[in-house]
Amino acid sequence: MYGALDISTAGMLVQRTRVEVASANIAGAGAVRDADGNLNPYRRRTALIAAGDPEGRSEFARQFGVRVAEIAVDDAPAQPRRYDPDHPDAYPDGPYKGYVAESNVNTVLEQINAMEAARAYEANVVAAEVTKQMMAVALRLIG
Amino acid sequence: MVATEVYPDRAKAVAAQPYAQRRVSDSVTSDFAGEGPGIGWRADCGMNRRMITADVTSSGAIPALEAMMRFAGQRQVVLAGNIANISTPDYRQQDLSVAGFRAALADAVEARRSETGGARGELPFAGTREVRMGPDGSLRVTPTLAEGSILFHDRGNRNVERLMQDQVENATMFRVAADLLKSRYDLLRAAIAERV
Repeated sequence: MYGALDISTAGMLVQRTRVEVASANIAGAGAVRDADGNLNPYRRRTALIAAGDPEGRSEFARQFGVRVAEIAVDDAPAQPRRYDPDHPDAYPDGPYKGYVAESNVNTVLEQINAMEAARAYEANVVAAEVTKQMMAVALRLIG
Repeated sequence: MVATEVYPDRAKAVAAQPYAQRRVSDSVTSDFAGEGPGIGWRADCGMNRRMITADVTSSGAIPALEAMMRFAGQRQVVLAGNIANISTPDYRQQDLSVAGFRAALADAVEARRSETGGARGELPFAGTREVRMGPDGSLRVTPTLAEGSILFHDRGNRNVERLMQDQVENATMFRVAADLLKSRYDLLRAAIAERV
């Protein structure tokens, strides 16, 4: 049954990573320039989840666990959504003249993802609680 | 002597088993008899010591209850895996068949009854098709795909409510088996202590 705890921990880890990715996306939603100061709006990140955990501690965790396979970068182009001709980063000419390029983050979507991940995290906590109760029941046989 | 005559083949059957597959009672008493792990009894003992403890710990409902606890423990692992993969795309829910376990356990009890004429002796239960005891004592779990919910857009068939229900039922089954097993052990303890 210790394998079950490993699995629930892996699930919690994955869901926490999803919340972290959503937080990072919301935080970076307004970033127009990158770390080097170049005009390069933030790109949305996605946690790609896969079944099975090759780095799991037990055989069961490797077989039934879950892992974050990759934090992928969303390549969708930046959206020239905001009209702000006085902004220093606004398009100087072209069809989007006066618009500021914004990241491809949809904050509403990120909020929903974070909520869903939080609920899934809770489900894993419940599973771990049930496992703990079963372990306690098994221990009562000794006394 | 009487015990070995009643079950002449049993000690041999136990001796033929790989060490890890044997019950604790077998190995404990064979070590106690001062012999290697391959032999469960000695002809010159005058009395089969293995049989004494084996009849106490492996008769009646105890092995069936132990099997129940082991199965519920393994099913909890599979259910926890389903919950951990609740947001994994392309993941299909897995499960261990409770009905299959019940049928296999009933077969084992029936086989023991037809062999020994009652609830005595070793229970010939080796798991189900999904939960197998390996030769090295490890459990090999090969769950089958469970009936899931509708297929979502990410090709997953999660069903949170059903998962929670399964988990509660499984934990209850585990608890029932553990409580019954505890009452059996308490009975044994009372008998050993000659107390009521």
